[in-house]
Amino acid sequence: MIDMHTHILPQIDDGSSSIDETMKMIKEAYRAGFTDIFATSHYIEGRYEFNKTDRKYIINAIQEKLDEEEIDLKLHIGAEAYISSTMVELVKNETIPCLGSSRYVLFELPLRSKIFYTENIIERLIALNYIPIIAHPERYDMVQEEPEIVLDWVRAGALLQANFASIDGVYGSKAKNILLKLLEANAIHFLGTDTHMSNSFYLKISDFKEMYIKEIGKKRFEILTYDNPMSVLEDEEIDVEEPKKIKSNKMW
Amino acid sequence: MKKELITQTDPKSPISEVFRALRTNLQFMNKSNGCQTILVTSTVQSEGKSWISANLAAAFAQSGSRILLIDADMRKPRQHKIFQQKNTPGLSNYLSGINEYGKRQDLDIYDCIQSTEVDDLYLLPSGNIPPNPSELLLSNKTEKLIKEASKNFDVILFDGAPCLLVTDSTIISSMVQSTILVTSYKYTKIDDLKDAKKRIRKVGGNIVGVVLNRIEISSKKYENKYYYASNSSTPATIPQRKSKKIDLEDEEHITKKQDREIDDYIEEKVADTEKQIQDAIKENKKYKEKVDVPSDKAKDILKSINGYK
Repeated sequence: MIDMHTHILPQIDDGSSSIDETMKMIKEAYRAGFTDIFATSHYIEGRYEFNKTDRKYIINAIQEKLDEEEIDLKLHIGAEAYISSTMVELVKNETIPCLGSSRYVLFELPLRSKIFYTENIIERLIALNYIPIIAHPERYDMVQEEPEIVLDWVRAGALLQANFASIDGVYGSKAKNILLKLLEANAIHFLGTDTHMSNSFYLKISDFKEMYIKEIGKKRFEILTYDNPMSVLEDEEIDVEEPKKIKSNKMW
Repeated sequence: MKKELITQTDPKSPISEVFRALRTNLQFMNKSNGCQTILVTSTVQSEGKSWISANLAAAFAQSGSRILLIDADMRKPRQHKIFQQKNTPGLSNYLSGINEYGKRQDLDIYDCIQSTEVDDLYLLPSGNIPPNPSELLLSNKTEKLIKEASKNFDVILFDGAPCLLVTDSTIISSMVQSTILVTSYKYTKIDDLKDAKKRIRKVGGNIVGVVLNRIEISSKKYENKYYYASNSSTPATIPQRKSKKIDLEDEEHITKKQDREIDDYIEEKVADTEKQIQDAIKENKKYKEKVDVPSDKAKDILKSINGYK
């Protein structure tokens, strides 16, 4: 498996607090069956501003330690950018790195507030030949209120990355229900753990995996956790099927 | 700095997140690339407009915009209290030409503007309480003020008096690009809101959105979903107030005069931008010649990684 979303680098954001914790997390990931990890620490203007160069140095240093310890796992550069009016510029001038050496850009939206320019950002990224990936759509209030908007994002050319743990209701039952609907509509393209600390999600991966396989089958699970991420690593385009209509639910 | 300036004192809180979203929504509406002028007003008192203005201003400053916050509520000023600054000399002194000691004196706006504890956020306090705020605002000095400040600031944000009580804010709304109406959940009357909208539209003001303040959110919902890591042991504090943008309308009703002003800004900015591009090209060359080196903060992290085991 390939983990598309982690906060595994030490002291860069609200994720791992030290190199010791980072190494612990990586070992947990390795035992859980991951061979590749994208280190997608936050990039939030004014708060977490480690640029591409910094991240490259830090990843290389950690990779050296892994090689020394003969842990067969590869770290790849990345970032979880926080949507803003200047985000596209920062990607363009290579302050915010893409995933690996690809054209894929992972970004997140505010969890609680509604914003009106997501499609504008998607269009601008695509016009510049980037491929946008939106992190954990199931967790956003605006998606929970109006799930159909993700279809607009996908049609505009964005791909969606869901969090492993959402299927277990870790982010609330609303997030879980939305995730199930998005999976059913074929609107999820990647899974990531969004791990922020050791002793956490990596220890439960086999449970989560079972739940996903029950919902979408083994083959689809492999596409989300290996085939599609592999395409990102190799900077190849992913064949995206037109998502199905999202089933409405009277509860909302 | 007072605690109510939450965007600054607690940038990670979900309330701060809402302010940043509001800011970015506004940034996207600024099509001219020039200085953006915004008025925040409300229908009546106590809907939270000063609190919203202060925090919105801080959110702008955090994004690197140089912002001038003008306390244009000359009847019941509050910004100087939020930022713990003195209130004089201020807007009324500048507009009236009477200084804080009651003597005639033509002040420059920069005599009245104060820097604050928030980087890039500058405050023009309201000044001594004048007998005739509306008249003062009607003088051509207000437009001169905007023009003058536009040269030095990316955003000018007015905290205006409630617009149903007095005409102050209606006057300002005709001079700025965007007006935001603050309403309070279960407090603002819908007819008042309609009335306010009518008054602002009548003078050619451009209402770009309504902020609904003081929405109740349950603590459960908050705890469930705010923290990134669900097994975080940090207890969540329950926010008292939350603002949410609920409505946006297309840009319209820009008066001819504002139109001309915007054109002027664009021209000025095009010249500026050309210069910036030239500078950037030079800068970029320098950058390319330099080998990529990690920042000092990254160096510290690298040291700890290299010391592992």
